[in-house]
Formats: sequence, C-alpha cells, structure tokens
Amino acid sequence: MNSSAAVQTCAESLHRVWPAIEAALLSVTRFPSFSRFLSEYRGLARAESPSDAELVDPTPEEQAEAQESIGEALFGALREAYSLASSPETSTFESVVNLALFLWSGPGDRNFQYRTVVHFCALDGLGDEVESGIVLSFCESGVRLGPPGNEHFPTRLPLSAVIVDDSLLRDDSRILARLRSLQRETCLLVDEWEHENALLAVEHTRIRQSLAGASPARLEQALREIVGRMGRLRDALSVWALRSFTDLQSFVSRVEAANRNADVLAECDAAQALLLSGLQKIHLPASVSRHRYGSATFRELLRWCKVRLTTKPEDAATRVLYVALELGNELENESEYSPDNGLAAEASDEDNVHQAKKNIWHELEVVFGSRTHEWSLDYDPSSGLKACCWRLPRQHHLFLCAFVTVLISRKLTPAKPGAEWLSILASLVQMPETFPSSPLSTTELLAPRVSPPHPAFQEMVAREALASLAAQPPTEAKGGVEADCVAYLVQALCELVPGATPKDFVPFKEKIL
Amino acid sequence: MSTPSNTEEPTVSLANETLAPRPRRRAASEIKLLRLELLPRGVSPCEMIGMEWSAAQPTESLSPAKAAASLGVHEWALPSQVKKRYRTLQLRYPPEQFLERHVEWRPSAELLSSPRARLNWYWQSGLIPEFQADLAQSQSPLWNVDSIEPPLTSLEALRRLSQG
Repeated sequence: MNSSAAVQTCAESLHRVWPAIEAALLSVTRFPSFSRFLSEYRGLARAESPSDAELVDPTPEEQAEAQESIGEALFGALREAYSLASSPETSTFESVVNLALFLWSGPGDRNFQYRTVVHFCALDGLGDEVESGIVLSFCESGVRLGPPGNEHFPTRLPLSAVIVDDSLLRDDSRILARLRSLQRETCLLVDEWEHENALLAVEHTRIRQSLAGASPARLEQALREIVGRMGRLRDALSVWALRSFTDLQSFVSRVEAANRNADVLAECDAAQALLLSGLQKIHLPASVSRHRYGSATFRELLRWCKVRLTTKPEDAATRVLYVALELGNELENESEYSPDNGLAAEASDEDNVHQAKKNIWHELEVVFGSRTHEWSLDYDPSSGLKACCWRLPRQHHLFLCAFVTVLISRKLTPAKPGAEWLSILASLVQMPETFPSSPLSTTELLAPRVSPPHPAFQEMVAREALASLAAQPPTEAKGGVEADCVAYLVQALCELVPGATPKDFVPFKEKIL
Repeated sequence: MSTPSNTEEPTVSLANETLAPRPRRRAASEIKLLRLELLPRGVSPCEMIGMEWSAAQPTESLSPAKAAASLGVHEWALPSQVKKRYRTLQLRYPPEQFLERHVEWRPSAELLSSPRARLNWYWQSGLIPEFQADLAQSQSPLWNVDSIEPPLTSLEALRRLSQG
C-alpha cells in the first residue's frame, strides 16, 4: 500500500512534466543527420568502418550541440519531476521513469527510442546531482539515481503494473480489449528482449575484435569482464521480464476464472500461449550462451511455476521445472550453512526435512503414476532444465533427464522419439558440462544432504526410459545421429540402475564398444 | 547508364513525415534464433507450442487482412462473429457451388476464428498488431469502436499509474 502510494506520487509528478521530456527527446530530429542515423540504426553505438561512420554518425560538432541542449533539457525536466514528488525514494522514482522511457518511441518508427537518442547524443554516463548526494545519470536502458559513482542496472517497474487492472474483470467488453493490448505489449516486450540481447552480442563482438592483437592474458581478462557485464545485464533484464510475465499470467488466470464468455476465453488462451512462448525465449539464452542466471532469476522462475501450476495443474513440463528449481534452492540453502550448524539442524528436525524433501519427489511420482491424457506437455520440458541444470548434482540431473525421456516417449506412443527428440535429450544430459567453471564439484559434495528420489522410483523411471530408448530401430540414416544419441543416452542413464550395463539395453552394441 | 553521383537523397526530418505506422521487422538472424526453440511441426508431443507456434513460416500467403476480406468480416472480429459469418456463407450456397468457395473460406475462417492462430501469424511475420473495429456497441457488444484501447504510450502509462 505504502509503495503503491509512492509510485502514485512519482507518476503524478512525471505525468506533469512528461510533455517537456517528450519535446526534448523529439528535438533530436532537428539535426539533419539524425534521419540518416535512424534509418541506418542497428543498435550500434558506433559504426564498424570509418567510411560508414562518416555516412551514419553525427559530426562531432552536432553531437556536442545535441549533447548539451538535449541532455540539459532532459535533465532539467527530470529534476523538476523529482522535486515535484518532494524527494521520493530513489528506487521508486527511477523505476517509474524507466518504465515510461521504455514505453516511449518516436512517431511512426519503433527504432526511434530513448536508447537511440542516448546513442546519437552520446549521453551515456552523463549526469548531475538532483539533490545533495543523489546523482541522476543517463544510460542506454534508462536513468540511474543514487549516490555518485554507482553503476547499477536501471530498475524498471514491471510492465504488468500498467496492464493489470482487476476492476475490469466484470466488464466483458473492456476486458477483451485489455487482453488484446496485453498480447500486443507482450509481443513488444519479447521483441525488446531480443533487441537488447542483440545489442549486447554486437558490443561483445566489437570489443573482441578491437582486442584481437592484444596479449592473451589481457584479452582473457577483458573478455571475462565483458562476459561478466553481459551476465549482469541479462540477469537484470530477465528478472524484469519474468516479473512482468508472472504478474500477467496471474492476471490472465483471474480473468479465465471470472469469465464464461467463449470469445474472452479464446483470447485468454492465446495470451497464455504467448506468455509461455516469451518465457521460453528467456530460458533459451542461458543454454545458448551458457550464462548462469543468478538466484533472483530463479526466485522469479519459481514464482512463475507456482502461478502456472495453479492455473494449469496438468502441465507436466512446468512441474518438472518446478521440481528442478526447488532442488536447486534446497542445495543453495544448504550450502549457506556452516558444517556445524547444518549437522545440528539436521539432527533436530530430521523428520520435517525428510518430509519436505519427500514432497518434492512426490510431485513427479504423481505424474508418473497417472495416465497420459491426465497431464500435458505444453512446451519442450528440456528448455527449463537446461537453464538450471548446473545447480544440481549429477545424479539428480540424470534422474530428471530420465523422467523427461519417459514423458516424451509416453506422449509419442505408439510412435518413437525421432532424431530431433533424441538430440534434444542427449544435449540435455550433456548440458551441465557446457557451463563454464560449473560449480558441480561443490554440489557433488553437498549432494548427500539432499535426498535422492526413492531408489525404487528411480529405478522404475530409469528402466522405462532405457526401455523406450532400446526400442529405437538402429538406423544409420542422417549419419547415424540417432544411433549415436541413443548410445550416449543409454550409457548415461545406466548409472541410475544399479548393476546394469549398456549392453543389457542396446541391441547395437558395437556403437558403444 | 545513370550516374548516382548527383542523386543526393533529401534528408527529411521525422517531424514532417506522415504518422503512418512503420512496424519493425525482425532481422533474419533473429528469426533464426527464434526458430531454434520452437519445435518442428508434426514430430512434437507438445500440445500447446508445437501445434500453432511451430517453426514453419505462415503456410500460405494468407494473412489476417486477406482472410477478413475474403470472408467479409473485420480483421479483428471475434471468433463467434467469424463462425457465424462462415455458417451464413455455407447456408447461402447449394453444396456443389459452395465447394469451390470453400477452398478459400475454410482456411480464412480457421485463421480468424482462433485468436492464437492469428496472434501466431503476427508473431511470425514480425508485425505489430494494429487493433481496429468498425461496429458500434449496439451491433457488437464485446468488440466495438469504443472498447478498443490505443497503443500503450508513456503518458497513458503514467496516467494509469497515478490513478493507482
């Protein structure tokens, strides 16, 4: 309540000065080179070759003039808003400003954004005091407020803050319109996520190229810094996007529960599919760039899983992700204990802890025991596991892989998983090894503290997975990819069945031998 | 041979341009990235994403606008309106005449009567949906000219936030 009142005050003061801010942003069009800059704009702070730079970039005089006039105007307006709100909490003010700046784009062209203006005028890093001890500085993703010299990622209110409105629930006509604009804004958010990731990748390549001739030690150091910076940016972006998705998903769930109109329900369905797809989009960079998301992202993911499972309890893909996240959390919490405390805690309420751990596996036991039509795979269950596999000890990870194999082959029955699915599964098993400096060794040490699934359950799942793999016809099509994947999977999953060897399962043994 | 040396492009300032929406198309490489995560059609057991959100490009050259023109409904008409319209068309012709029209009406009705299919078309083509309606509230109580929300602007967002 208190924080929403603070947001309200900040929004009111910003609403009053917004015309001035917009005029300042638009005034960049009076520079003749801007329209060229915009049409050639690829999110690059500078062009790649000098001849391009002449064509595209503003001249230094223009840039200096733009920097002075536009920077002054923007800063003046924001300072006025800040004083109108009578020294609000810096993070609240910052998050409201940044959401407004995120939503702004020039008339008729979505590439004309706040970021474009910052790049054109080279405003990045400039700023001044709005109050004694509090500095407002510009950067490409928004403005920062705080003590001098801080470089944090600008905070932003989640998009859901301006879309979710429960007072509309009873108004069919307005809720339909709101659901459609939710869909459009989610599309734009995902587009923005792609765009910002592309910007990061471009910058990474540029710095890499500029340091090509440097000594290996320096290059390595520089690359580690860049990758670290990209990781922090990705973390901040993913937390922001996930928070928006979760709130929007729970809003759509409420609409679905309150409404019986077939047209509204169809829009709800489309919105949920879109949110799911957006979520996949955010998992994916983790598996491609091998970035390890921080614990804030995992907290948000867990929240998303809970919201999703309350709406769609039959969604088995989310259930697997939920279990993997809970296991990872448990390990992380364990690792915070010092050995003495940990043992003491374990001794005192061993039963409770055991109960809680048993419940985690129970989630999967229920799915395993039910019939195929009672649960659904709404998306590829491996994508979520790929994002958090490095937090789990090998045995747990292998077990989840076996479980996913069972889910997929059960859904495909009577068909068999083809080369696509086999390669997805094989890459899932391999995934923890692909993360750089994976802390698997520490999790292995802690593994005994997290209870594994019940041995009988584990063996049952592993045997079913192995049996479904062994039923693959040994085809040499496509260069034997299928056979290779099967051999690899069987070898890995055999670790879960005591006393079993790959030879017991694979009809084409020469691949393994 | 035309020499391009003296054909200098006039630099037009944005403020003078028309305000026609110019949506951003995703770059080809970004579409490729998008395809990675989506599953091939037909081999996937994933009920939700695998069917409509497949890696395939929009199959025919059918767009929601064309579909709407062929059926004679509005592009953003509701599923129930589209189904009703399709039913009317079906009843208007004797079965042997309907068959040839059926070829273009059926996919159009399928595209427009599933919000997910239509949204997917926009997603894959990289275009931003522009919502429209032409019926008054008395003719279409759910989706009408008054109920449409304009694109979310900063000013509108700040207004909503300040009202709590």
